[in-house]
Amino acid sequence: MAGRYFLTTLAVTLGVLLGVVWVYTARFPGFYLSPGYGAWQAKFELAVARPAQSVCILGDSRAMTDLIPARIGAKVLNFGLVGTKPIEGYFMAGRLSADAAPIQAVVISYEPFHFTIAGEELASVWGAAKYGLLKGRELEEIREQARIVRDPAIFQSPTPFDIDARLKIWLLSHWFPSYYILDLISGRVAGWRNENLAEISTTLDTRGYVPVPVRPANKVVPQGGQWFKTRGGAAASMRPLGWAPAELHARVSDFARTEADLVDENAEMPGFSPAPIIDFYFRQTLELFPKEGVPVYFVSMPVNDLTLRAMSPKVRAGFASYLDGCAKAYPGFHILGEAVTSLPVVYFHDKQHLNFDGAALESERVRKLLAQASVNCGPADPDWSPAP
Amino acid sequence: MLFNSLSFVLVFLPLAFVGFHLCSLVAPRAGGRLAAAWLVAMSLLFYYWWNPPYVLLLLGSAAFNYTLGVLIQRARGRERLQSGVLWLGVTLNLLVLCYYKYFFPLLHGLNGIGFHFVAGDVILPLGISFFTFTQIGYLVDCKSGISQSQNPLNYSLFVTFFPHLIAGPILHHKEIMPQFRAPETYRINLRNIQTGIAIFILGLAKKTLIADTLLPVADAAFAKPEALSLIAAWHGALCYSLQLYFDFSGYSEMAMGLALLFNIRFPANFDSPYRSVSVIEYWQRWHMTLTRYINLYIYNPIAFWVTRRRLARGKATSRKGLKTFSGFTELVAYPTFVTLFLAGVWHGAGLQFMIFGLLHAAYLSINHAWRLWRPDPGGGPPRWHVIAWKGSLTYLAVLVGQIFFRASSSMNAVAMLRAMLNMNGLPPWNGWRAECGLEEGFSPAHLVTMMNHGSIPMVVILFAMVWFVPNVLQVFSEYEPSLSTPRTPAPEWLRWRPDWQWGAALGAIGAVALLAITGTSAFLYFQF
Repeated sequence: MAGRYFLTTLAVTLGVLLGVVWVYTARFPGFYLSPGYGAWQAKFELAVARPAQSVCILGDSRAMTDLIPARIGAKVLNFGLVGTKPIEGYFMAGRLSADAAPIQAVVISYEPFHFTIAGEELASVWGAAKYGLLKGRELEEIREQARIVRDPAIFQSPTPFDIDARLKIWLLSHWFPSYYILDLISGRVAGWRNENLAEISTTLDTRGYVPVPVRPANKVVPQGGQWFKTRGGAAASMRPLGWAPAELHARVSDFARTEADLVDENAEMPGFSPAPIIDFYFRQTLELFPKEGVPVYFVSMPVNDLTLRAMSPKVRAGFASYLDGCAKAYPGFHILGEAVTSLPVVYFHDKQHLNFDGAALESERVRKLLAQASVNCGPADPDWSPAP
Repeated sequence: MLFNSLSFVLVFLPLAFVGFHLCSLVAPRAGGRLAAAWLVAMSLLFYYWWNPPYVLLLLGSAAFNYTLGVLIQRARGRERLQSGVLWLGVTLNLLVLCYYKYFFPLLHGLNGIGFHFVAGDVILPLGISFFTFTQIGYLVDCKSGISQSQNPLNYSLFVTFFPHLIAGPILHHKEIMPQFRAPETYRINLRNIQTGIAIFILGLAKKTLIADTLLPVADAAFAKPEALSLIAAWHGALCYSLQLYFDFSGYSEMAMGLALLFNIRFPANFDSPYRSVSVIEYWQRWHMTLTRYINLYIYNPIAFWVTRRRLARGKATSRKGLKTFSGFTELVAYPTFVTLFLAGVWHGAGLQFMIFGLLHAAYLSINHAWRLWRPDPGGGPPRWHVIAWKGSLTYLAVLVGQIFFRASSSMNAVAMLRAMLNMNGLPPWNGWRAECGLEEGFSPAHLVTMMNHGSIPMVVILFAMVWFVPNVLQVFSEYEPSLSTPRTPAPEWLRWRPDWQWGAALGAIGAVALLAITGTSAFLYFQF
């Protein structure tokens, strides 16, 4: 008899605990997902409530932080999403396209690195699922496509009946808490609630422009002729160059010590070769809008000059050639400016993203490029700056 | 598939478990044949899940060795034929193992010193060492007459049974085959199910809540040991030592628990090895079935051969003979070095694994020599400070071995040891907190962060667990979870009982462990 109580109590305890966490993760994602979540939600709202004839920017975190809609024009909206690649861009584009209000033009911007696979698994899809962009149906579509193009970057190699991938999709899209537990811990259960609410209203006010840091992150500061990267208020931990080798230990690796730490991941690529699944969705995006008569423009966001120096010429040439190929294949797709551009490192907040001065400069450049392409972005506000 | 993956816990295991017991219920008259067939099918699916083409290798290996086993048994009385078939089997098994495990690393190594071989890469079939060793042992025992003729279904199950398939324990047919034959194996046994679930949950918790959280610290430390300060090096080494301990302990418990769900008892494979007070004892507690295997099939044959040779030369083989230098060298040191060298090489092709094996051979030889020549320790139980001293010395020796075991190369291991000997200096004055995993401070508010970083306080707590908390064999002693008897059972109040209190506690642990399955982190022993 005691044996039955054991199994019953075990099952009930396990079920109740798991159930409580499951319900919490599903019901209150804004409480524990980092403030990036607020920005994403704001952009989903913006996608629905956008005015007619708007100019929509799609892209990665560089596009999000480097392009200030108010400085480009009153009709510009920034739908750039942190940590995304063209796959997620396609589904964001789908949300825009599905809406009845006609779009005047779409601006796309992704760095070369985001066309490739980082690490063994492409994690951006899972991040987009957590943040609400991709639902089970979309993930399932990506899985099927990944299997067709035989790209194991997202779902790894198929298992019998592709159960591993299908199960992950089902669990993640049904908020199974194992996939959210690290967010719950780092978000201290409800630690991001206020920040997310604030982020939603700020992002709506800025029409999608989100200055870095999205979350307490790295910041580049000059000191004694050297550049340092600090992590949320940890400036006190900065040390001059040439300290004991122990500084390289993982514990202190968050703090940059040399200029090399400002060179971004584009410089680590030996050449440019897009991942099949990313290439597919990028091309899908290029097909989507011209079908509706909406022109699509590609604009590169600048890398810092240290990165540009360290970048392989093969990457630059390969990326330019890839974009040219797309422009030839899709008549509604145009490239504005160079495939890879740069700005001095002083305009950067960290190794990838521009600070406000840099973003203002870049926004002005893009404004001119769009004007040359006869895109009516509406009047720009050259004095706009984010509320303190 | 990994035991600590959601696919396994939520899909495969329930399917295998329910199917097995349904087969037992549906066809009780079949004497469990249907249930055994189901288990074989599920085990093959388990292997297929990881890499489909290698299922053919597994099946081929099982079929080949089964056939040879039958041939050896039928050739009873024809010694030369039996030996020929046995050597054919052993050679082909080892050739396949060497091809997958050593051939390509060897070519890469030769290319590194100026040769120009075309050296591709091959995926090491999971568990190839384990199923090859298991079957070589079986063939040897067929020749010795220890093994009886087997039903092919039971033999397939013996080789492929998924709880032991990819990382052990290394089973001996004598202890497993009777269980596969026994009708009670194919009946629902609530006691085994309860015990199995409880042990599986504890193993899963060890893996996901402890071992996996230590992995980043250990990996970071071994990635660049030449850059580590004294504190960082010790921190990294201790974290790895604990990671290995909890990883293998967790795996062994999960395997034991899973086997129990199917009414099978495995031999114990892990018995709190860091509590050992000598290296001899350490090997009796760490990867116990590997120790048993190499003793049975490598050490003992060599030792018997040496003994016969000495006897033929008229030399003493008694304790008195052992106490001479030549006697000790031939009878103890030589077989020990050969056996441990092979055990080291079994773990991998790199020089670091050979050093690991030879280091332990040296430890064991010194340990045996000490037992032979030490002054009489006197009667009575040893005092606590003697135990502490012996335990610390043993652990330190084991830790040095583990540096070679983990390192990516022998130079990597030497760099780590240099850092541990303070040859890289101390950390900067304001860096020690970060190097101890305490950059966010030491407070209950940062408990989770501290655990994730394998901070020094967490390392201390984990060592306290390792040394003082009774292990699964002790806690579950009354329910005989394994074929071995624990040294000492746990105190009465800590012994497991299938009551509601334990149900609630294990339910909570299980929920947290399940929540902690955030990725797919392989077990460390999977690479062997």
